[in-house]
Amino acid sequence: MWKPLKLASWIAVAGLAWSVGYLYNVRYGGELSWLRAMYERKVALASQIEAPHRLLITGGSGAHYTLNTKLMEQELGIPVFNMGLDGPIGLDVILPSVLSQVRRGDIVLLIPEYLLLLDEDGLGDRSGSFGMAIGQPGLGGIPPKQLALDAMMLGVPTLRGITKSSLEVMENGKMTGYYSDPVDERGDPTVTKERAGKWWQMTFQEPVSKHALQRIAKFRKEVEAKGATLVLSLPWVYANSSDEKTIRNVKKTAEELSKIAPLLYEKDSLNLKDDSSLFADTHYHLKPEARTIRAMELVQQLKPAIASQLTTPNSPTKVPQ
Amino acid sequence: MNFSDFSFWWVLLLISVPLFTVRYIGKYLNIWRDYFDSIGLMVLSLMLFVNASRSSFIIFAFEIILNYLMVRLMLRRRGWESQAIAAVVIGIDVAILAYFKYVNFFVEDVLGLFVGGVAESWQQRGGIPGAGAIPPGISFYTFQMVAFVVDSFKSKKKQPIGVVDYINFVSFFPQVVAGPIERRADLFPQIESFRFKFSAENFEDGLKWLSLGLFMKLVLADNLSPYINLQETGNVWLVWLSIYLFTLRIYFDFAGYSFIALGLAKFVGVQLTLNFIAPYTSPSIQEFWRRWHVTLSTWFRDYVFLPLMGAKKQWAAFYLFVTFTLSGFWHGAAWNFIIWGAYHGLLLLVLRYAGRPFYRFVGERLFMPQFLSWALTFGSVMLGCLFFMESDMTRLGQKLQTLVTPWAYSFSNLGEAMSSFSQNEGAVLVLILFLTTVELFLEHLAVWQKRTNEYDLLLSPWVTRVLLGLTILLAANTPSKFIYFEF
Repeated sequence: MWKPLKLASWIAVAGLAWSVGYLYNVRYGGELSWLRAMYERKVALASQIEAPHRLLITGGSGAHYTLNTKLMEQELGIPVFNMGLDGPIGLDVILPSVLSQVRRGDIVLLIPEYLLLLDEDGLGDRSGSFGMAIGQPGLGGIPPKQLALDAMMLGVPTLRGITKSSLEVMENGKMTGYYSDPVDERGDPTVTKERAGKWWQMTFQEPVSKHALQRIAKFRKEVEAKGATLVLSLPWVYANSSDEKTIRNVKKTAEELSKIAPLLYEKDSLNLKDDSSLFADTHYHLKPEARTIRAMELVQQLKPAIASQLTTPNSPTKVPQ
Repeated sequence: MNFSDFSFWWVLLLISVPLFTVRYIGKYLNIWRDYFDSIGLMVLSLMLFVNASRSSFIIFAFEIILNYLMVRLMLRRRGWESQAIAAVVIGIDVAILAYFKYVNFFVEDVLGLFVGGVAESWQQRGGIPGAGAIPPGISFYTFQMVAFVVDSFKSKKKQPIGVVDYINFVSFFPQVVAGPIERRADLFPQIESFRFKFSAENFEDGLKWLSLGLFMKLVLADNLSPYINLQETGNVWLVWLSIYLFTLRIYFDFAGYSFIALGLAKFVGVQLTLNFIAPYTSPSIQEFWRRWHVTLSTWFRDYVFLPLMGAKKQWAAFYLFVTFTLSGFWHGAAWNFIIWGAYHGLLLLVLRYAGRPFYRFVGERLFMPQFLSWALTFGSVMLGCLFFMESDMTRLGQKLQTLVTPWAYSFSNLGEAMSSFSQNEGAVLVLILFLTTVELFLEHLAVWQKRTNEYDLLLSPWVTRVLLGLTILLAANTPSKFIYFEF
C-alpha cells in the first residue's frame, strides 16, 4: 500500500471510532447526552417564559430533584423555573451556563449542594465535557490540559457504558440514563428514583471553600449586571445534625455565604435533616411529599427576601406547555 | 512514564511540537547540527521524567552524575583500580535502592520478628526520611545503570562515553520507569550519536505496537481490574476468579506497558528489546521464564545467577532457587514476594528433576500431553499469582486454607459467587473475558503456526487497526496504575 495512505488509514480508523463514541456519549445514549438534552430543554422552556420577574432556581441535582416549582409559582405569583443541573458539572461551569438565561428583573435562587460548596477549584468530573456537549467549550475557564483530556474522552464510550446501553436496548428497546426521564414545563423532574443502598448520615469536615465564595460573589456581580437579583439557599441534606464539627462548618458556611447575598435556611436545623424518609435516592434528592414541604418553606423564606420584586406589577405570564 | 496518565501525552505533545518545529526549520535553513538530535532527545526524556516525579528526578539526576563520572574514571583505569571503582559504584547504586525500598521491611518485618516492639516504635518515629515511598522507576534504572557498569567493565573497547549519550541511554523516555531493562550492547549503539529517524515504516511499526499495547492496558487490564476482589477469602470460586483475573491483568498490564514503550521508541527509530513473548503459551515453567519479563530474567541470569554460581555448576539448582527468591524480593519488600520468588524457584527445581520423567509418563498414557503441560504450567503460574497479589499474610493464609478445603467447592458457593454480580457487571465481565480469550488464542495460534513473532497475528495491519478502534470505544475511563510502578 502507498505509504501515506497506510498512515492515513490509522487516522481514519481512529477518527471513525472516535466519532461513533462521540455520537453515543454526546448525542444519544451516554449519560452526558441525557444531561445535555435536559439542559437544552430547560433552556428552551425557560426562554419561553415571558414575565417581568421570573424566579430561576439553579444548582446541581440538589436543586433539580428537590422542588415543587408549580406550588412555588402559585404561592409567589411569579413564574418559577427549575434550572438545576448536575453537581459534577462543577460550580464554575453551572453558573455561567445559567447566566446566559438570566434576564432583567429575574430573581436567581442558587441552591448549591456541599459538593459544590466545598470544592477547591470549582470544577467537577463533567465540567469540560458538559461545556463541549452544549457547544460552549472552555466554559468555566477550564485549564487547557483538562479541556484536551475531556475533549478526547468525549469519543470514548467505555465497555461499561456500551454494555449497559446494549442490555437496555435488548430488554426495553431503548437506552436510558440518570437524566433521561423527561422534565415538566417548569423544569422539575417527573420521575422519583428510589435508593437501593443503605443510608448513612453525611458529615462535613470543612466549611465552604475560598474558591466557592469567590465564584459565588462574582456570580452575584454578573447577575446584577444583567439587572437581576441573586438569592442563596443552603440545601436540605441528610446529615448528622448532632455532629459538632458538621454544625460548626455549616454555620461557618452560612455566615460566609450570607455576606455575599441573602441566604435562606432554617436557622435551628441549618437544613440538616435526620430523617432519611424525606430523601429519595441520594442525600440531596427529595421525595415528592418532601419537595412540597421544601417548596413551602422556601416560599416563606423567599417572600421577605424578594418583597420589592413581588410588588412590581406583573405582566401576563406565559408558561410553555 | 505513566502512559495511562494523560499528563505524559500532554507534556510529550507540549515539548515535541516546538522541538520538531524548530528542528524542521533548522534543517530547512541548514543550521541544525546532527548532535542537536541527541540534545533534543535528552531534553524530552528529562522533562518527561520531571513531569512523572520531581522527587524521583532528584535521585535520578544524582545517580546519573555519579554513575557517569565513575564509569568514565573506571574506563581510564586498569586492573584492581577499575574493579574497585565498579564495585563502589554498584554498591552505591544498590544501597540507594535498598534505602528507599528495603529499610522499612528489614526493620519492621525482619528485625521485628526477633525484637518485640521495634516495628511499632519505628512506625511511631515515622521511619527514616524517604524510606518506604519508592521513587518511580528506581528499581528499573538502577538495574540498567548497574548492568552498564558491569558491561563497560567487561568491554574490551575502553572508549570514552559522551555525557549526553549516557544520559540518553539511562533516561530514554519510553523505558526509563518500567523497562525493558536495556543492556549496553543492545541500546547504547542506537543511542550513541542519536538521530531522529522519522519514516513511514517507523511510524507504521510504532503504531502497530502502540495500538496493541494500548489495547492490552486500557481495554483488557483496566477493565479486568475492578473485578479483582482482594478482600474475599471465604468463597472459593470468588478467590479463584480473582486469582485468574489477576493472572490475566498483570500480563496485559505489564506487556501493554512494554509494547507502548516499544512503539514509542520505534517512532524515533530505536528498537527496544521485546520484554514479553506470549508467556501464557508456555508449556513449561522454564519456558515461561524465557517469555515473561525477559529483560529482568536475563538481568538476574547474567548479574546474579552466573556470578553467584561461578564455577560450582553442581550447585546450579541451589543458586537458581536463590536467584528466584532474590528476584521475588526485588519485586517488593514483603514476605509475599519472597514466597512468590521461592515458589517459582521451587517449580523450576521440580521441573528440572521430575519434568522429563513426568512428561514421558504422561505422553505414553494420555492424549494431548502438550495440552496437559500447558494447563499445568498455566495453573502453576496462576497459583503463583496468588502470592504475588496478596500482601496481607493473614489473608493469604485464609485464602490458601479456603482453596484446599474440598467442601468449599459447593454449588451453593458457586451460586452465591454468581449472584454477587449485577446483570451489567456480569455482562461486562463475560465480554472482557471473551476479548482476553481471543487475544490469547491469537498468541497460541501464532505459536502453533511457528510464526517468526508470537504477536504476528495481533500485529497484522488490519488487526492492529481494529485494536485501535476497539481501544477508543472500549477503554476504561478510570485507568488503574501500572502494577509494575509499585516495584
